[in-house]
Amino acid sequence: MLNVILNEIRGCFRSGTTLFFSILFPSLCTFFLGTLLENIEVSDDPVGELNIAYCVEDGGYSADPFEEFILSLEKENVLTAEKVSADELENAAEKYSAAVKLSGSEITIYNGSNAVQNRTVKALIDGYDQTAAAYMTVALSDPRALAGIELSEDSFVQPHDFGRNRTMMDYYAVAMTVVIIFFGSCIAGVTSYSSEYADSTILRLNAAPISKTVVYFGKIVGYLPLVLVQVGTVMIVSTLFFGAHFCATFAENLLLFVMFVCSSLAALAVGVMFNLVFPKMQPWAVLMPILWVMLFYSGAFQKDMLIKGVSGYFPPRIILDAAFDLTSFSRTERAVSVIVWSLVIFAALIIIGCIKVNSRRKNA
Amino acid sequence: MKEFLSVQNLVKNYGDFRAVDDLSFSVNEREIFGLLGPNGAGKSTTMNVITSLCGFEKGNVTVDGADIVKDKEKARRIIGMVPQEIALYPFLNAEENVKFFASLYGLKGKELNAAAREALEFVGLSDRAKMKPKKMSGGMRRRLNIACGIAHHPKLIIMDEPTVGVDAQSREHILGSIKILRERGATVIYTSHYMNEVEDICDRIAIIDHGKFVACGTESELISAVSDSKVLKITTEIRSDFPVKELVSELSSLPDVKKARIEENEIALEIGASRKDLTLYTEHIIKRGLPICGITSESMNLEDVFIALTGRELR
Repeated sequence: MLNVILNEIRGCFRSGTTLFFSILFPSLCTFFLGTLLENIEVSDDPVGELNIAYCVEDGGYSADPFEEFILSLEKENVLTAEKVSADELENAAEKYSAAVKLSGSEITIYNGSNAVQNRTVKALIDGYDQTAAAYMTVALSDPRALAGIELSEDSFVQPHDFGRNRTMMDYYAVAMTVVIIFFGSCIAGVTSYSSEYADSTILRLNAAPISKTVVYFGKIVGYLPLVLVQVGTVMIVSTLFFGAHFCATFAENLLLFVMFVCSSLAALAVGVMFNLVFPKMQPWAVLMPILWVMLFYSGAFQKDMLIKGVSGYFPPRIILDAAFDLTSFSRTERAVSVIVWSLVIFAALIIIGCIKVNSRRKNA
Repeated sequence: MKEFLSVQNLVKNYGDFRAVDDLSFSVNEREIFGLLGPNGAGKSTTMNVITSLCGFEKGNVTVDGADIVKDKEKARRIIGMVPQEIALYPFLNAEENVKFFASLYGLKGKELNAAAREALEFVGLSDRAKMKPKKMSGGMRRRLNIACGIAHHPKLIIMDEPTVGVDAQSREHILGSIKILRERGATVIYTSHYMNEVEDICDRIAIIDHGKFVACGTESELISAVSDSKVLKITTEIRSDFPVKELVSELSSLPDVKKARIEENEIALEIGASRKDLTLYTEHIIKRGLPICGITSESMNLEDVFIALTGRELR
């Protein structure tokens, strides 16, 4: 089997087309899309349920009105709110849409992951701030109208995130890795046997005294280095040359890499199976449009390009969500789930493919 | 001579179409066996069955005593295949291609290197070992195709039109190589659309049509099976007042003459193939005052045999 594996590896790494589209092209796409779309942020998503945490730290005379304002919003069902301590606030974004801290006369908003909700919270706090400013104006111009209320200094709202700011470069570094999983691995799988037919080398392989199972596994294993290199290259090049960020820790990055590799293996197995089931069908004509549509409406090329209720079922979107969960919030559950499912799909398709290969008879 | 390949009552169907119909033949050791047939006759299917590229419904095929179904691996190790298609990896150079395909037959290390070198030298490509197929000429690719099929020293080599689309020089080289392979002990099954090639190199020839053997034997056996006559053409100068019909009648009555005709200045006599002495006919013509300007004797060739047996031309 080793000679078949080595031959596949040579085939992968000696093909200029494979190297360009599997390795160089995704890295370039990361750079160009990440740079060109850096300032674009369009979203028509609904606000959804707002659940905020707030903290009053040394609020002074502003504390009561601020709390009253938050509670009034809750009363109006605009949002749900929970008062937390200053220590709890730092980790609140994992649990809440956003967090707001009043410190003296200064208000700080800790943004969550949803840009629309962030803007909504900021708008609400801005509204409160403007009201407070108007109150101050009246107090200054006609203090008697506000008898019994102490004057305050000008207040302001200061947006602040949790310290991890996801740029478009970060987004596309992940997105392009997902793109390469499908365009690189899946298409590589599809061409695994069709290229043997195109070059007529399948005749020699089938006539040789080696089993078809050996050839099949040899081909699959032969693609592993390409999978590792293509995922690794996009991640490393995006990080080192384009300043993209993936995960916060090495362990998380390793988990992300493993998730991408496992997903690639599943995509490779799908491609090989497609080729076995439809050996005479032109893969570019059938599979490419499907992949394009799935990737396009999974937000791989434009992050807001999603079909409500549909995109969530597309494999690229599932992988993207798991990746963003890991990169933005250090949540590992989805990534682990993707790894498990990918390995299950890979193993199942490999077994079915093996049976299929051995039941095949070439028509003379 | 030892029987090396035996095909008995072979039947192969594609759906309702019977591609090979109860075919039986054998090929002797160190024999070059030609398989001729029009397109769709069943010769490629027969070769694919022998090389295990496709299964079959009925029959029995053994190679050097090894059953190709029960003892598949042993049978495959003995066989070398040179397909009609150029079956090479474009990303490997000549040497790597030969080595890879030879390695599938269990060759490794020094043995593999030596086999690859020998095969490339045999087909005259040792100086192009590092060249990739796409940079080679059509003839060179054909020769490399052969090298990949023979590097593991197979005892039975199956060659399906190995000279398609090659220049005369490469064709000569390939045909010469096949004869050398036979001298080295290999048994060869050879198909070609070029009759002269088959006539030139094959010890025995089988003509197959509609999945069945129409005829099988040496070239002379095939010709004599179809016709026992040859045509003698004598060029002369006939005057306009010469009694042509009278001469035709006289010539027709001579021994071994089956048919005589005269067209312009050419006298054509269809005579028995066994007739060696032709002076009887020339003397008669000279006696009638006609000069002998030229004589040619035409026997049937393999192409005539093929057309006579199948009713079709080979292409």
